[in-house]
Amino acid sequence: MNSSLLKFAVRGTAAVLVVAAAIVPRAHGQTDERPVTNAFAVSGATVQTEPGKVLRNATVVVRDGIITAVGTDVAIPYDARILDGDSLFVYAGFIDGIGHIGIPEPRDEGPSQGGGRNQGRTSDENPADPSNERAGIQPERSASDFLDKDDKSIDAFRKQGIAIAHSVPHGRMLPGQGSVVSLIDDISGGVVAGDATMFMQFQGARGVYPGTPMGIMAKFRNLYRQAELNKKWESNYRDNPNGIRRPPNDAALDAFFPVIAGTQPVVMKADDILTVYRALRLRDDLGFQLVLAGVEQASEMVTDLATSNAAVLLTLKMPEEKDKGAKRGKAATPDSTGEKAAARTPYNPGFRTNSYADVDAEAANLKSRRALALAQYKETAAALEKAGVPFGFSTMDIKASDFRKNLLEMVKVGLSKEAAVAALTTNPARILGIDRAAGTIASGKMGNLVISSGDYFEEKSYVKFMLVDGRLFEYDAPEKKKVASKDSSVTGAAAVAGTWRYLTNVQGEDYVGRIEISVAAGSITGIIEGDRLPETAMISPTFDSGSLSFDFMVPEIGRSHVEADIDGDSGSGTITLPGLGAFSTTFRRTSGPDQDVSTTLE
Amino acid sequence: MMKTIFRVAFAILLLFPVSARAQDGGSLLIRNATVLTVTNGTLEGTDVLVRNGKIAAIGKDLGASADRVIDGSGQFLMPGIIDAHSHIALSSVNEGSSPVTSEVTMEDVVDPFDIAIYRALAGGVTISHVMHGSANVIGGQNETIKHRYGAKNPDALRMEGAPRTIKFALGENPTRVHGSRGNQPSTRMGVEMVFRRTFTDGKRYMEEWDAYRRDSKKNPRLVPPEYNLRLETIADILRGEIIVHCHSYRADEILMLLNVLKDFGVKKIVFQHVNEGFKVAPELASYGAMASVFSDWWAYKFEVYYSTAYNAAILTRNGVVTSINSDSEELDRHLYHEAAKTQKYGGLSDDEALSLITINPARQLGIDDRTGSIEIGKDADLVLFNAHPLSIYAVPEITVVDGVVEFDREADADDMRIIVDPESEITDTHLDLEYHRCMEGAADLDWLLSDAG
Repeated sequence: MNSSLLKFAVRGTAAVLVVAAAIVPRAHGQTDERPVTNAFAVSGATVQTEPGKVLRNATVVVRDGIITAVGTDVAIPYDARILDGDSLFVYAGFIDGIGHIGIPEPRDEGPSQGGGRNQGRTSDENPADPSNERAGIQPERSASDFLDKDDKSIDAFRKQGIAIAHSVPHGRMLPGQGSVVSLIDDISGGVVAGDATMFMQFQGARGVYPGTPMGIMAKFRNLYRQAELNKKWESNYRDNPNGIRRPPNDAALDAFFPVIAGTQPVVMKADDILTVYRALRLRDDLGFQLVLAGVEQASEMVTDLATSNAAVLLTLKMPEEKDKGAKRGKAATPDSTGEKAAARTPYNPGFRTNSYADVDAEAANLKSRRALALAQYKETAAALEKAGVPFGFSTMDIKASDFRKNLLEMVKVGLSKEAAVAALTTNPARILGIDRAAGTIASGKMGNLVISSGDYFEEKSYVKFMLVDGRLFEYDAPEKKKVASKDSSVTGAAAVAGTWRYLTNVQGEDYVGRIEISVAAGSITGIIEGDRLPETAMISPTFDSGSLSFDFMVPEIGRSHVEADIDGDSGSGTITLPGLGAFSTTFRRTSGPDQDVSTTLE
Repeated sequence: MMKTIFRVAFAILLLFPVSARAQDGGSLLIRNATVLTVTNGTLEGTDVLVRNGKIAAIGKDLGASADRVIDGSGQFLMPGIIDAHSHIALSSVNEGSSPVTSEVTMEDVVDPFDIAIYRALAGGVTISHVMHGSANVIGGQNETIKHRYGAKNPDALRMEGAPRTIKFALGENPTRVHGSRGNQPSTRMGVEMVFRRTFTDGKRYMEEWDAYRRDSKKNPRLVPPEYNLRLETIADILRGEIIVHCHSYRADEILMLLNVLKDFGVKKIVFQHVNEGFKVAPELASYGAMASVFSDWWAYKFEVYYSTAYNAAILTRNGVVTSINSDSEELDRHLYHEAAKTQKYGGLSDDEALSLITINPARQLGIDDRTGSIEIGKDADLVLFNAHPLSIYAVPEITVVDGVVEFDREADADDMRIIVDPESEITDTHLDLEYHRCMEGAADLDWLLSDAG
């Protein structure tokens, strides 16, 4: 930057500070009150107008929901609220490539959300020919109809920097159409592009047709080809109805018309390699526009993705690191012996030994390979960047609190910040067809800004302000984590002690039960009991920064797993039953931990 | 520090690719082996030259140069073993929700990462006919795969140009799965009824579409008939484009299906398991039906109570094209032993016994013009044994698919997986494998439906 420009910028900043202190009251977003002003300015900031293009000491002005000026010599309007802070970094509002933000998970999979309380089939229903609703074939539904302003994910993800989300309904094979929405508080009013995509998953209906990936693929082909015929039929009818039987007005098939016309892409949830290839197969058979969503293990198929001509939304999920010690307490398995030695031994692909002869060496080699797989997984985004595959991200399988953490991890292992910003802004904007309105900081674009306390990709930075549709949201610096005392796990664990009631829903039926947790001498023990579950001891219970996890044995079903986020006296999570799936569960504390633990348990 | 270790490890991976597909498209010479051609007798001290995945020359002292030369002295070279009934390398086996699912196809759910492919290679198997399960009267379409282990794209395993086949099932499996839910079929009569109704529907469907295609040329505004991928497939069976492979045990129901197929003009039929085939061997032969059997396995349920280890020999002697299959990811590793049993039970010749696992299954899959014997111009699918493959001491040393060495006992590392789940557990527990997948999926479904709620 030349010196005269620098002087101007410095003068500008000084003026801003004076103005800010003198006349603009500190306004808070997130209220229903009419804002004092609809103009905002951030200045003296490092502004990334588009991926890789950085203006230092620059100013951005947003008025009435639109960016009106950006540059290093921009005058700040007199009525603008100044968003101030030291060395702020500004990015275009992030765009979630796909997720369920703003759409609560259906509590009991009620009929309106694709499951039905009568998941258990009634005796007169033929599993070979279920209703569309029962089969999870509801492409006519719109995500816009499921948006709920009370859903906590809206603010949780906004706080991470997301201004626009592509939200899709929950469900099974064809849950409905995705809508692109601004994450404002009244989210139903934030729809940027309604029914922008058709969402599809390779998730079968339970107990009825289609139940398997092959059944789903066959059904999809059948629906698509019938819809092609219906579309032509309907167009003939509209031209001249004389002599033509009236077309059937089938809502599910009519929903395919924009896909067939090429105006709406199909977004397929394709997490593993095989599902990606299956999605490409369907696309090649039928010829629609394809977006691959929630892709994992992409580094295994970079070349095929690069030539596939399909858009890619990479998962932000990260696998759990297995070698970080025996977290789930499998003390006697080779998994927990010689962890460090294993990590230090390079994987030997030619390794040969008789299993009984050298178990430790064999286990160490397998662990080294697993560590490699983990490293490769983390480097997926970097590998795609290197191969020149543009991609966005999916929040479908993550908690909001993992969003930035996992992004930073990807950057740490080789994803460039420039590519990361592109994956958060311009790439998803293009994939979702909103690139004229969003994705960069330029005059005329939506007033969506991420204003970070520092470089977003630095660990200590946090999102200080969010402008979404020109509306302001302000966030405090995150509280510093308490310094862990030596027995923090125990004091942490003590917070979960007591008696809890849980409520879950398995296949349309509610189950309630009781959990008792006690903490003594630094370790957690407990029992779980339910309607049809005799009192059973918890296996390897752990409680760590708010997350409770344990296994337990269910007669005739097997080793099951509970995972819950505990906040005070309530919590939510899942119970996973092998072979049946994971079921949402809520937890409520009925006594403890303020009471003496021993009396609670008497 | 960690980073450096990973770099080193990656470098090692690059140097020694997990799958030993070293000479794709190159040439291979196997010298001085005893060559069991199956169709042209046994050739002692003979060379086989492979170029571009095909057998280019067979003869003594070929003197040809090749990218890789294998000394076959004292060893036995036979065609790659073909397993006509398998459920390996599949993500799902049964779409058990409906008694007719001809619209589904296993080519959609091939899983190239299944370690069972590598294990089959270790047993000399180069081609598997991976089938839909036996839960439905008319199940899904099957897929003929080549064991090109190491490929990540499932389509790379599909044997290009292999004819389409489909799974049918008779008897207890479909009646149990669908009958127990109160749906057709719940008896053997019901099974026949489902066939007749479906074929009738398929015939009508074919006629409607043929008429539409004819008439819409004159009147493009004509409303088309309803599209139905299920009946579309049935129509293809009626047109003779798909080979039927039918799960069967009892003689009476085998004859029932022959009658049904005769009524609807379906000629291409291979009976699978067909444990009572020996009772109706002349009838099978006169229809041109083929049989794919177990060597000596029966009495695992009531309808398979009655059988004999002479089944394959009796069928063969009656002129039925017969193969021996595995239906199991364990048994497929020693199909050469299974074939050898026909020499004890029935006295088949070496070539007849070897035909049961090579050229005969190739005929049943419609791929005998390219595989199943060692002939010039055929696919270079070969297995080199340390001893005669019908000897109890035989061990496969090298297995070649399309001219690529896919298994080499010398380079058989402990960890031959293609991909690894970073969250996988590593334990020292005992292997607990489910070898038979015929009813997988259907059984789960059954359990859910009868017990849920």
